[in-house]
Amino acid sequence: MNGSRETDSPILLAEAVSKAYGEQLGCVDISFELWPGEVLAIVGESGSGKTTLLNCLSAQLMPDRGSARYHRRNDGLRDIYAMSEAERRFLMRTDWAFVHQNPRDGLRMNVSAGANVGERLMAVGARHYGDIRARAVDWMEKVEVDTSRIDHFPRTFSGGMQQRLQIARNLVTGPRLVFMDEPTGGLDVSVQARLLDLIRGLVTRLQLSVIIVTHDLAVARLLAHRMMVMRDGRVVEQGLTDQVLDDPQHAYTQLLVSSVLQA
Amino acid sequence: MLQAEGLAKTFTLHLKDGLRLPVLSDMSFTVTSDEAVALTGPSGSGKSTLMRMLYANYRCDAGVLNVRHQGDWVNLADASARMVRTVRRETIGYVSQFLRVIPRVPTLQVVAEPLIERGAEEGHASRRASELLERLNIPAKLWDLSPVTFSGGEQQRVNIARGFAAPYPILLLDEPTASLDAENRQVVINMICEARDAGTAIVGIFHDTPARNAVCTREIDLAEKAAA
Repeated sequence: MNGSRETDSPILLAEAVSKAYGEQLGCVDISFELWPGEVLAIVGESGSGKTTLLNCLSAQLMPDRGSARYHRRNDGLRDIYAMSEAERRFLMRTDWAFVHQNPRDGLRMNVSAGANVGERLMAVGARHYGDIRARAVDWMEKVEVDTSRIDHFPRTFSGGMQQRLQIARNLVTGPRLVFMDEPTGGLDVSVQARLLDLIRGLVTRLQLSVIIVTHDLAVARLLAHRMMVMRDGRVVEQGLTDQVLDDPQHAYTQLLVSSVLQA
Repeated sequence: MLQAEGLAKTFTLHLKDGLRLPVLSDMSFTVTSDEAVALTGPSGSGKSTLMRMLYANYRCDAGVLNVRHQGDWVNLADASARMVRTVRRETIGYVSQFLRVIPRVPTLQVVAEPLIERGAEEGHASRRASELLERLNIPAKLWDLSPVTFSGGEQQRVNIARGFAAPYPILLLDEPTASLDAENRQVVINMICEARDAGTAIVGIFHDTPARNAVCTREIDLAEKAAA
């Protein structure tokens, strides 16, 4: 689909990424490869460093050490930390997307739903009002948000609808790499199931590469091909999702897996 | 198709003061493409553990597990996660005892998914999925529903349909006939025999002796291996 050159290279290659806050460790020496179409879950409890790592990988936070090389469409692997601020901002608007846990951080609450989706298109140069609106409607349908509400403000939406709208806003520009920070956190279970199913379908259909941070092992099981378990800023175990969850090797992973409540 | 040499597995329970439970050691065997091999032995002898190792669901502590994948040998005991995913998509199918149900995904889609993942066209994948569901006597009115609320036997048949949707050179079957009635049991036995005769290498656990006798060409007794 994208030619063989792309499948021969990871889309993101992180090496020894480290970030400390003064004496406090954020994340230490994190290295991994992410391949096109792969979903990687970073799991761990609060304070494990998973959000710090996600923020470093998405260049929202500069690490103290290490590199993260991203494979751009027509241009080999480039270290995102060595790019200019303008280049990084361009990536954020085009190839990348970031889905926040709280829709308030990823949506503009006082701008209509349609404009929230259309805005990202305009940021990459779309100008024709009719086209932009048509694509906004199309994406609202894809994420199952009632299109009759296109002119309503997201603050009048339920939490689940807001989250689906945030996903539409992020995916409308056709990104290749999507970062997600606890995208189903704080939602009712039924709403969560619907959202997970939606994300799963979009990821497969659009062949997205995803790095998702979650503390919920069931979410990792459902969405991720691979996972990394973090504790105290370090990766204690990584591998295929089913391997890590069904045959955990590290004491901490065994504790996590055995602590899951069975419904 | 499959060559195991010196496979070993010990579970270390860190939450029980590092208690070590040795399950398998020095397992060596080969399976060729015209064989259906039954793993036998009493419960606790490591049959399910070995099956999971063959699918790389459990890690091997020692040994080599070579699998014939697209003309090359791949050692699953030390293959990258990405390689294991490719081998699972193209080469090794696994029918587990229980269907891991994903909420909201309709039965037809659950069954068609392995084909879609290989890049099959959606119409073709759905047709193949419907044929299998029909053969396994899952009423068509259930195909649009998620199997969450299905009976145990129905879920198992959905699981088998999914396992047979895409043709795999190697098929792992964990008690495929366990909760089926006589009629459906026969359907499943026929499906396995057809796959075997078409050249699929099969490794399975069958507590159901008549099914094992109907399907398998050879047995590997894990109790004997442990004693040896």
